[in-house]
Amino acid sequence: MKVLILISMLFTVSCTHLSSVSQTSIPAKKGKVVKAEVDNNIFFFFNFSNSYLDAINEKLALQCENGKISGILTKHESITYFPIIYHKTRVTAQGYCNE
Amino acid sequence: MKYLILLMLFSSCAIVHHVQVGDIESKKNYVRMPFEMKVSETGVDFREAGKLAQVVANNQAGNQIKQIADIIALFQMGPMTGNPVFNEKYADGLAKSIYTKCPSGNITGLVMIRETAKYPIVSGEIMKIKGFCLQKKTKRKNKRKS
Repeated sequence: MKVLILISMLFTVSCTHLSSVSQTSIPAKKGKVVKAEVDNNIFFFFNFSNSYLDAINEKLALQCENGKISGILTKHESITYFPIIYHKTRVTAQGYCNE
Repeated sequence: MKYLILLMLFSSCAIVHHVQVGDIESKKNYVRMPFEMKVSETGVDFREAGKLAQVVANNQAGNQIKQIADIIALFQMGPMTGNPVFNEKYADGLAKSIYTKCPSGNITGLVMIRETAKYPIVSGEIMKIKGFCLQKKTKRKNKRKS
């Protein structure tokens, strides 16, 4: 019973790792906040493509059609929901749109 | 045990190390044309090579190969992403070559992705740049048939 509880505890812990962060110049006049996010689910460490990242640029640009997005904070995170079994990688970009 | 190690060694994976999104500018009368470029270099995992040699070769030879791999690995210290490569300047020309994709120089929304395509022992150490090239909209003239 103790072993079962220990194993269930081990498989229900979750944690988030920050892999990388970058920040571009922040404008003096901050416009509306725009945010784009892409993620990828990984089962048993099997990940064969990083093409999910391709959409982030277009997603962000579409939110500010006639302006400039600056002060972009990019975060790349790895989230472990169930150790070994299920992970997620997420990239978030947030900036200011000046029209 | 041998089969388990071999199975682990023959897996492949795509790993992201770093993502950076740059400022995105839009201008009236300009269209955003996406472009992408990539450079890569072969990386080698000496520790993994040593492990594989231990499994494949006999005990004595395997241990010797592993010792050599460990010594080589000792000389590659410091923070790094992915496996060591033999040419560290493979990404130096990347900034210049962006202009071949966008000769006007109206470049915006650059996304830099550093990733590794991992295979047994070797890996592809990849630098990928995506962005937009701003190009002037061309006006269509509707010619009427007389």
